[in-house]
Amino acid sequence: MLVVPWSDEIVRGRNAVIRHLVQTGRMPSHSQLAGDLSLSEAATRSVLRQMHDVHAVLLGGQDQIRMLWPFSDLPTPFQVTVGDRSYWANCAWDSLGIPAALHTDAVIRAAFADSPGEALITVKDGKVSPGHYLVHFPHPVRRWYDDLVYT
Amino acid sequence: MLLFRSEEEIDAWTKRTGEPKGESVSLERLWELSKAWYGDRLSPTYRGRTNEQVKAVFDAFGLTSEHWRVK
Repeated sequence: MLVVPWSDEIVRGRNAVIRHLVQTGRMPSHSQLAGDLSLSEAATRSVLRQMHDVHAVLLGGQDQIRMLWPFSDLPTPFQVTVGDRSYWANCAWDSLGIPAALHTDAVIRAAFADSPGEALITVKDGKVSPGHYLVHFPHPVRRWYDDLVYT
Repeated sequence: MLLFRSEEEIDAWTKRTGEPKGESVSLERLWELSKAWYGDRLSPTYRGRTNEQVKAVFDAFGLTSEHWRVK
């Protein structure tokens, strides 16, 4: 299921994606990433595919970066605001993952799956509120990598 | 993973959608797990996590049922 430790090339590529993502809230384009890595776009795509193969990122159509956990490149029902910057999380769990990864306070707007409205969740001073809502994990962990978008 | 107000809502959702009923975790507990799961994820030295490391994180938060078995 997991291939670790990741190669130096994968770690370097992933760190470049993270730098861009944290600064802008979006995943880098191939040309932006190629510039950051001082590689050709073809070589950059090759690195991205290696990253995809070990689940360091999830690539979508035309090898665009769709996920770097806990972040999503596409809008989702889970929006995380940190200061004056907003990020999209892949799922309800990942909406907590973003402030955990950034080690910061955050405000999360998350849609309920089976009722109208949305939750306004705050992470402040190391605590989450409200804490009683539930996140449902429908699939066992060993199946998470069968279909990462669905999971 | 989706957000619900209660177990009753999860039951209604699984019945309506045909999705499997798995396990649920409160935001309070999940936040503590998130700090362990994602806290080092943006570190420049992060190189992924072995199955054994994944199991250790889940075990530390009492997630030890078959649902959380890694392989």
